[in-house]
Amino acid sequence: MSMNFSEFKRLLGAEPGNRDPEFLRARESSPEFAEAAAESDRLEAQLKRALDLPVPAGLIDEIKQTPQRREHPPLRYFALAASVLLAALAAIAVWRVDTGPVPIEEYVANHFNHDGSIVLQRGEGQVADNVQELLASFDLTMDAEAAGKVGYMMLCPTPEGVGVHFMVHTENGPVTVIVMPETAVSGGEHFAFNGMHAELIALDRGSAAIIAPQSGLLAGMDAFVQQSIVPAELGS
Amino acid sequence: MSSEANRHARFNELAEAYGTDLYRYAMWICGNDALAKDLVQETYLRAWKALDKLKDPGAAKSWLITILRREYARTFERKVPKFTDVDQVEVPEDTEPEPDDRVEIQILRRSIQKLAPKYREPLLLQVVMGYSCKEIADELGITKSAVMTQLFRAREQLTQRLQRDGVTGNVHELF
Repeated sequence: MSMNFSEFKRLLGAEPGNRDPEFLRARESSPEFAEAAAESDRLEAQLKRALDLPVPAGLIDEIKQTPQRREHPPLRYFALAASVLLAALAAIAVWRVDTGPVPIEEYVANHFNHDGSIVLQRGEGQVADNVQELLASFDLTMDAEAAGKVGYMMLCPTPEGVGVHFMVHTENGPVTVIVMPETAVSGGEHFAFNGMHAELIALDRGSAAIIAPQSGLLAGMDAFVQQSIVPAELGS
Repeated sequence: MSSEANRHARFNELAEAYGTDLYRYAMWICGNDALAKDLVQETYLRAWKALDKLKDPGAAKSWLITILRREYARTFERKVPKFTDVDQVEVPEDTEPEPDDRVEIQILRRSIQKLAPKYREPLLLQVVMGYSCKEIADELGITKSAVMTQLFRAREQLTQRLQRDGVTGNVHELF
């Protein structure tokens, strides 16, 4: 039995490249079928071009260098971080039912508990080479001297979207910073969690959380972050 | 060739065969260039570590895409980022001589971003990664029939948006 037009259109929409003989025969079975097939072919060509985004130059070479990249922390750290995150998510889920959105302090604590130790470990003795690239995603930049003190930087989820999470080498030890480009805070809020001390600061664009094991390490970091991370159009 | 050299050679083949498509796939699911590169790098790092477990070279593509999707889910299990970079990608004039084509492609890109993930992801797997409906069903853990319905709906919505945005042609009559 030959394919009816409705069935043919369904197949065209679901799998236009189908090579089934019956489907191929149906494409040429009548002017109506042929016209639908031609329109489908045109749409597919445009769809392919639309999805065919340009790829950064050197991407494949960078991938090939992957084995030479420094190894990540042992899996047990990920397992530990994952278990902490699951526990935190469960707590947040229950808490949200009663109280609405998670306050920024809660987000910072949960975020740091999730991967704070990993970022600190990855940055130990390192200088990050992706600082400007990642900040440029948010139309931000960091002055070169400050960027030279960043040991490791990664993208991270924030309450309103995406931000960056990084560790800075200071004379007194590493300090963690989470930049939240789309999250506004009034600034100056200090809080503590799990033996860590944190401060929220307002930036020209969004906000940042500064986290350290001793409150003394936070001194001066607000000015460091506010002055070194600026909108790209204001950077030198 | 030593086993280590052989391992590097196999890894390089995977990079060349799938790196570009994986990046495009990553860009479409996360919408951010830096994050897409990071996802691809992380995918290949994990692939390098587990390369010896890949016994069937024919399964490499689905193996890599599964790693990438898991990595994305792990990174953004709490929050899906907003699309940013895809919308800023211009269609180069030298490859698209017809202005109408460029407009249509930009409309398509915006429309693809607006598709619900359950429609967008099968479409990406099919068009970007070259998956069959059966392979998509296996990757997403749903039936082939459900995949076909989602793909049909995805194209139907894209066509309707092209029509609504005034793109000429008969594509709207397809669905």
